[in-house]
Amino acid sequence: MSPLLRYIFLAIIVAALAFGLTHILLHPAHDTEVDEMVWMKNEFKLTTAQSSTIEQLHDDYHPVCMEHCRLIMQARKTLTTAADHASAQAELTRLEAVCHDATQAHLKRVAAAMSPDQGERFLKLVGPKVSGQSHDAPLGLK
Amino acid sequence: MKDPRDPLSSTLKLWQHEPAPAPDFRNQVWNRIHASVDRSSASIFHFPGALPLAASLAVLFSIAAGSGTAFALNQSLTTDRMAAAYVRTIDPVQMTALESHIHP
Repeated sequence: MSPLLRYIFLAIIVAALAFGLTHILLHPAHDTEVDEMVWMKNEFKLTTAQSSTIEQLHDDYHPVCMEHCRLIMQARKTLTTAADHASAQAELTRLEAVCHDATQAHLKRVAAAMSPDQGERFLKLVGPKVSGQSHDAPLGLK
Repeated sequence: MKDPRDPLSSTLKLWQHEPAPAPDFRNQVWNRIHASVDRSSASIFHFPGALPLAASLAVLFSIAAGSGTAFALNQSLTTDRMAAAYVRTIDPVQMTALESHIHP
């Protein structure tokens, strides 16, 4: 085997070992999650003022979120007992779309409290993880 | 002074030596060739003494590349997981989908 081939072979083995070891040793355990607000502060390099603004936004949104939760759970309960299943399903879908839009609007307000580039990155990262559909989309199509 | 009657010169000119071939010479040559090929293919990690610097650099570069890639991957996975966890705290649809969710 030529020296060049030996180097390539050795480099691949060492790189694979380094990758595996680093991945295993630095992989955070799922039960050691940090607080979401702490994560946001570090991830999006929030200043103290930005953190305070976002925490206030979360506090303001919390009752809205809880009300949406209540309505959705009520609609799901109705769906299981409703005689008119189609209209109950339509109501649930409508509520989910309302929640989706409210959540997306909240995310935009949070992003606006960040610096422009971090806000854009925040929306790109978090926005697609919101479930449901928008009022802009036809009902039933996700 | 050289004596023209000295027979040494003419004797040397006439002398010829024909050594007998070594017994099993051909097989011994091939055996040595085969042994050399086997040794080189078995020693993957054997490097010529003149190239330790290149080998060291290759190892260091590989460690850096492997560790760097794993670190970037871990960061990406952690960011993605935390983003999903954050959304679960503000998305009523996901919150109500959790069986453990008990609405106040």
